[in-house]
Amino acid sequence: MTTPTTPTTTPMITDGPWRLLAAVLVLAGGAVHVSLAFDGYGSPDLIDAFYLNGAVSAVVAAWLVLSSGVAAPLAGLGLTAGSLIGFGLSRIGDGTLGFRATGLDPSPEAALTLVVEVAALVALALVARTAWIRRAA
Amino acid sequence: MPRPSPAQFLITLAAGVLLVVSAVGFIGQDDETTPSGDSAPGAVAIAGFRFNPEQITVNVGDAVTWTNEDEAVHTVTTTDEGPIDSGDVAGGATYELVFDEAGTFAYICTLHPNMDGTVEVTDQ
Repeated sequence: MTTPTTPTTTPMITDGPWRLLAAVLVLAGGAVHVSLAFDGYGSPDLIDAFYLNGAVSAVVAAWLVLSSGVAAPLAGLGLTAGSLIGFGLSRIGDGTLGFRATGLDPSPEAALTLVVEVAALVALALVARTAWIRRAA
Repeated sequence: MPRPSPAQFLITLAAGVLLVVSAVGFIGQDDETTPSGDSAPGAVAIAGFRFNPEQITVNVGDAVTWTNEDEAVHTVTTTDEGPIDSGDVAGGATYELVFDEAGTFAYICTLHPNMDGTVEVTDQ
């Protein structure tokens, strides 16, 4: 007679809801940029960058929900941080990519982008941390 | 690979749509917002976040018409003392000003100060 053994388990660290939230926020940020591009907001180079932001956001969002690793949230952090840096650069000095914006113009897209991308940074950081801990466990 | 949950499926679907829309938007960009090389005398196009031509010369008594071909709102505003003060010019709208004094008037869009232009008014 064998004695049933209790399987040893590592406590499951799940980041599922945060991963979904991060993906939605990344998607939303990309959608706002594509919307601005469709509206013709910005210099030609900036509009190209907006379309690129939308495409990369889509890829990162899908990657986030279809994987459980740390690479996708790290890519998302890079994308979002880069986007926020671009937001700042466009508002100082001569701007960036041949374009200088002022304050929270265009409204409401600029404020919306700020809120969504800061929230995305937080969610992505949590997901990356959790994935990193899970990988190390 | 485990079957995706409905949430994963929806987000992936939305990502696919955004990817396609971004690609179509990028590829489908036409020169609509690119100013054409020729413009009527006294006409300035506002397109692609640029004034075209950036410099224009007219005679005293002539009118200059700015046409906003962008979707975004712009202004036509002299940087120093000057008569040009359009206020907001919505997409598709125009602003016309008759110059009754000679001089060189530099102007910008106050909403997008990287956009600048000059009107030179000669006294003939």
